[in-house]
Order: sequence, then structure tokens, then C-alpha cells
Amino acid sequence: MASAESGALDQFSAFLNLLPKPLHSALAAAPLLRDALERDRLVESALSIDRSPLNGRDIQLLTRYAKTVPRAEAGNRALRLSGIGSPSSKWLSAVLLEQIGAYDDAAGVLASIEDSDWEESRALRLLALARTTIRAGRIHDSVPALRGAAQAARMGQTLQAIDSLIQEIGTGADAGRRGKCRIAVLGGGMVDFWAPFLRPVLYGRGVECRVFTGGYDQYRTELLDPPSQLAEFSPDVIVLAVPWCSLGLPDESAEPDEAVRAIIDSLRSLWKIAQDRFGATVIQMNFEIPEIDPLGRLSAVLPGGRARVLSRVNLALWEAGEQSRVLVFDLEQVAATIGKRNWSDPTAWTVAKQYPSSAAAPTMARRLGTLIGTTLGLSSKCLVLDLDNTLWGGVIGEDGLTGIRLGGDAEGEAYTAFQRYLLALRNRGVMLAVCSKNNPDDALSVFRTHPETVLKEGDFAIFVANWEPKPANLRQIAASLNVGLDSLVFFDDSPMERNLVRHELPEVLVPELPDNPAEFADVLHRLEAFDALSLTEEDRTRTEKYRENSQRAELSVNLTDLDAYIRSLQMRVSFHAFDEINLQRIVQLLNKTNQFNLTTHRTTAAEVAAWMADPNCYARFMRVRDRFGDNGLTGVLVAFRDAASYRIAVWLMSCRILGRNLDRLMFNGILSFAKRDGAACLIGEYRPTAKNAQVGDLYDRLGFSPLETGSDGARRYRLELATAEVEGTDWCEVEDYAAQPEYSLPIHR
Amino acid sequence: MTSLDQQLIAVLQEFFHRDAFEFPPDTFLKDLPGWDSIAHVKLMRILETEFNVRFSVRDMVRMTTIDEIRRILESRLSNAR
Repeated sequence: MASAESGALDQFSAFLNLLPKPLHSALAAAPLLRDALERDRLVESALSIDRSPLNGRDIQLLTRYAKTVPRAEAGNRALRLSGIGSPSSKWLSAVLLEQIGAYDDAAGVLASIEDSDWEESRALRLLALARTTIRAGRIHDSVPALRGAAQAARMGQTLQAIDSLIQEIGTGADAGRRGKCRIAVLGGGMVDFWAPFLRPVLYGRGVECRVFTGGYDQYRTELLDPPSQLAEFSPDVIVLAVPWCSLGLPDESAEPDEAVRAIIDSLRSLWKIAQDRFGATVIQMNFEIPEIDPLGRLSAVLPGGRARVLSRVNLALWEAGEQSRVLVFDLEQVAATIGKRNWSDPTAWTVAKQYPSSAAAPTMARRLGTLIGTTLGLSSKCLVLDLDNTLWGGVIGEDGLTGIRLGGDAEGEAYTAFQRYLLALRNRGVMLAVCSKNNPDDALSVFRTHPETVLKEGDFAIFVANWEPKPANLRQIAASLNVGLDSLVFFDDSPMERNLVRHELPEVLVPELPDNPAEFADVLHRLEAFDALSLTEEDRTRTEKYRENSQRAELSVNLTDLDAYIRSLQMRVSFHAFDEINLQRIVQLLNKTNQFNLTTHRTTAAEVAAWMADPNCYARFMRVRDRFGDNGLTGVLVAFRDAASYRIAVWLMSCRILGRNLDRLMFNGILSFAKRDGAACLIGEYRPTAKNAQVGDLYDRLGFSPLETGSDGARRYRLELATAEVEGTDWCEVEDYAAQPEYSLPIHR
Repeated sequence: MTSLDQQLIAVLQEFFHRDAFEFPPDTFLKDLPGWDSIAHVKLMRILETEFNVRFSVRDMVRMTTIDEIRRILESRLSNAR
């Protein structure tokens, strides 16, 4: 550092340019210079030279350096720094401004910095932006930044800082917008160091959660012991996080079959307790197959080797979980993804019974958060795609069919590979839509005639090609699909379009894209937006069903009379008692239906199974067929007998079949059943949410009398059965398969 | 104060969220609010990254005071040279 201390200021820049990290070197050397002017000049030279985007380490060093600047000078320094304009100078300026309490100014500077990536540096910037906005007294304004920070954060310290802010602003944090959840994490090792990260992770997805962490190796006691803290916490979800080292498996098991069976049986009994005592969704983590084993490869070769036994346990867990309605979290796969060497930390286990490593904690929390989010119905429903340079290379309107790159060479192959990934998504229930600035004929020509196209016109639920602004088109797409904007993912290669949509429609998920199409599938994969718990027949045929519906929509344009329209559909509606085959679809429907949903009761497979076994429970699903096809399972009504009344606890219909008066049919079902069962009245409940306003007056329209309104806005209604009549429905054919002969509904043609 | 001390104190101030505290050498880690065995491991890992050293289990268990941390850091750093 001799030349730096020589005092020749114009040599600074030349010298700094030779160093690999000018900024770090300048910040490290500055405190060693006695002359204050030299110190400032050194740092400012570095800030001007180093105009690259910042990472977490840069920000940490800048923050440390800022603490050494005397308070009296901080304001002037910040002003001078703003003239330099590089990301690093802006950060330093913002830190100084925050230090002297100029929170609004600091927030303004932070808002003007561009992010280099959408991971840690973005998280740190948004965290600082949220914090300064909060300190400036504008708590409500800080929420988007705080949420964005939670979505981007990858490091434990950042997640912790975000969590502190969330706790600080409490209900002002706009938490719980998309759901609430009480999660208990019980484990064999210490889980305290990662489980709390679930809070900020789920906050980033709009879910407010409370986390209970079990004591070290206390999971059995907590589940079994009657007056336990766990019982008081009343969890919705119980996560069993038992590390492989807690299983007590020897290097070589004498009786491997017995060892596997014993582990599965003991877990199964724990699941049963968790489900029966707490009615919670159970998530079982499977077991890491450790990298280091004294037997080496023999651990897998020998039938009793630990690796072999653990592999067999993991395999058996998939089926056992399916049978017991327990979700398996694939910890082995997550560990493999980040590398087992990063995942485990034998020193940390020895010193503090910590598993996995601190480095792995954020990944553990994020992946588990995704799974929990999926159980709450947060998965996106539709992927809206641009066309030019997204599904093929080039611009169809200019390059023509022969000019665009699709298949053939390396670049073209990247796009066909991406199309194959999208086709697989579509086949498992994700709806694909196109939103492109193109002439419709040009756009469609590729899917209709290009020899290398993987996707065809029929693979898209909606195809929009026009010259309108994309945000307006996205609103239309959401409205046509009858889903919320927060169910859409927008995938476009143009930064301008992405930013426009982010600005106009903040609820739409817009991932950042690299400019390499070979990485597009990876971006979608990491987004984990389309995570699913199961794959049903409905999922596989969703796009077909939707397209059939679109044909119905065209039909209705020509018929002005609603009654005539409904009759022309020639619907055949049937009602069925709940059964095993349809259980998953029923759970899915309860957890994702938002609009025609009276009570928005979210459920689990265990709860629905309990309803099926309850003699006081009326539980029916509705299946609707019409002349265009089979809409499938599209309505659910669950009511409970309570003394002389039937209380309707769940009533919902899929958005696919709204506007056809089918609510009347469902109502007829419970009405006639309750009358035959000798009940005196029906009780209905409406719980208002942001999305179900359309059913706010349903009970009024059906002739119920309002009872009390709760402090949360929930309204209860009552209908006297003695005077209520079942209205005939001659506009469609109805079959009630759950009915005993004396319960049958009138059937008309 | 050496630059090692300055750097160590900066890390401790960030970790324990106590910007004004000077962390006197005889301070016991266990007396600091927010410390537990998990926090101890986290701090050790952060120090390893900051100073580019690796601690053994014995090191980690012995680092009970600020002074102990400094001494073990110095010894690890001189080993590296």
C-alpha cells in the first residue's frame, strides 16, 4: 500500500485500477490513512472506478465504512457521492443518509439503484428500502419492498433482518393476504436456526404464519403428551424433521427388512397421532443418504448397509405417505441440489446438534415454504407467454417462418427444448396462454405450420395476439379464465414489457429472465410457481375443458336470453357422496376456489376423510356434463346436523360453471335432504373475502333471514324448513346418486 | 487497536446488533443477549468467512470470551501464513 500512502492523489485511480477489487481495497486501506482528505479521495476514486453492480459483501463493507464517517460530515458526503452516480456511491450515500436520520432521502436513493440480479443484492436493497421507509413513518408504503426482499433473500442473516422488520410492523405488514398458517416443526436435531425463516419466506408469498419449534428430540413427547405446548399452539401443519443420524441405524443392519419396516411403522404411528389429535396436515421429511460412510460404496452394496436401508425407507415413504395422506418433503433431493458437502456440517452437529448446516438453512426454509404454500392453494394457475424470442428465436412478423430459429441448429434447439418443458407443464394441469404483440395470423402460423414446433395451437387455453398494451390483455386473460391476477405468471423476454407489467399489475408474478433461452426452463423451475401435491384426471384435461368452455362462451354471445342459453347447454348434473376416488379433487377444489365460495374453508385430506365418516355430516359433490363435454367435479356442499338444524359449512362452485343457476340445484339438494331428515331449519354462513363478493347476497336471494353479523364481517342466516319449498328445475337433467329412494329429487326432462 | 481488532469488533457489532458496544476482551459470549449454542455456531461460521480461516471443534468450544476469540483468530491467521 506504499504508493497509496505516498499522498499523490492522482496516482490513486491508476493504482486502484490494477487491483482485482478496487472498492474492497480502498475501503480496507482508507482507515490507515491519517489525512482525512486523502481518505475521502481514495474512497471516492474507488466508487467512481468501480461502477459494477454490488453484491452482499460490497454492501457490508460500505456499511462498515460509513460508520467511520463523522455525523457532522455525513450529509455533505452523501451529497457529493450522489454526483458520482455508480451503484456503490449510491449505496454509501443511502447508508450515510440513514445514519443521520434522513430516511426519506435514503429511501429515495435506494429506490433509484438498479439490481444486478434478483437474489441477494436485490434483497439487501429492498430490505434497506423497507427499513428506511418504515423509519420515515410510512409503514404502509414499505410493504411492497419488504415483500420483495422476502422473495429475493437467499442468506440467513438477511432473512433474519426481514423477519425482525415484519415482527416490528405487525399487522401493518399486510400479512395473511393470501392465507394464514400455524406451523409446528418437530425434529430430532435443533430446528430453531432454520424454522423461523419460514415466517419471512411465507410472508413473501402473502401468507402470515406462526411457527412453533419443538425441543431437541422431543417430537414424540410433544405429540403424545396431553397438556403439551404443541396442543396449545394448535397447529394447522406439523412438520416432522428427523435427521438420518437420529434414526440410530448402525453401519450395517443385521435385519434390513425389519429395520425398514420398524422405521416406517413408527413414523406411521406418529402421523396418526398428529392427524387424530391435531387434525393437522402432516409433512414428513425423508432422509438424507449421507455422503460420508465408513463402509464407502459397500453401504449401498450390502443389503444391510445404511445407505441401502435409507434408500429403501425413502422409497417406502412415498407409498406410505400416499396411504396415510401425509406429504413427503424430499429432503434428500434438496440436499443433493445444493450439494451434500454444503448440506451437512459435522462440526455444527457435534457442537450444537445442528442439522443441516447454517448455509443450508435458507434453502430448507424456502423449499418447505413452497410445499406449505402449495397446500394453501398458492400455486399459480396460468403461465402467460410472449412469443418472439421467448418461444422461438427472432420475430415472426419480420423474419417469417423460414427466418425464425426453432429447431435445427443449437439456438433453435434451445427453444424447442423450452417448448417441450412447457408442453409437459400443460399436460400436468398448468394452463398456457399467449400474449404477444403480433398479427394473429403471423403468430398462429408458427404453431399451425412450422415443422419444428412442439407446441400446437390446441395446447394454449387462450391465444391473444394484438397491438394493445400487455397489462390490459393480462386483465382480459385473467377475466376469461375466471382467475385472479395473482394466479398468473408472465414470461416475456423484453425487460420493458416485464417492468411495465410489474408496475401496472403488481399481483402478477413476473420472473426476471436471462437472455439465454437454454436457461428459461431453469427460471421457471426455480420459481416453483406451479408446484402441485397430486395429479388428477382433471389436471390432465384442464386445457381441453377450458377450450370447450370457450366454445360455450361464443355460443352465449348469440343468445340474449339467459334461460334459453342454459337450456341450450343440455346439462346433465349429478350429485354424489364423497368417495376415495374423488377425495384429492375435493381437497384441491376446497383449497383453490375463491369466488363462488361462501366460507372459504381450507381443508386437508384428513379432515375430508373425517367428514365422510361423520354420521351427522351431509357431504355432496356435483358433477356437470353438457353438450360440449364433461366439466367434472365442480361443486361441493357440506352441512352438519346440529340438534334441529343443518349448518352449511362449505358451499362452493368452480368458476368454470358459474352463471348457470347451478347454485339453485345444489341448494335443492341440501334443502330436500334436511326436510326429509326432519330438521327444523337451515343455517347458512357467508364469510366475506376480497374475492367472493358475488355470493354476498346468495342467502338473501334464497329466502334466508339474516341473523347476527360477527365482528369479522361474517354473516349468518336462517331458513325455516317448514315453509321452504324445493323449486323444480326443468331446464336440465338431474341425478342424485347419493339418494335413498325416499330422498330422490324430482327429475324432469 | 490493531486492524484485526477493528474488523473483529465490526463483525461482532453487526452480529449482535449493538453498534455502540465496544466488546471488551473479558466479555463472556454467553452473557450477551441473543447468544445460544446455535448462535455460537453461526458466529463461528461468519468469523471463518470474514477472516478466511477454519476452526476446529476444540477452537469453537474454547471461544467463550472476546479475548479467546481474538487469540484463536490470531493463531489461525499466523498458521495460514
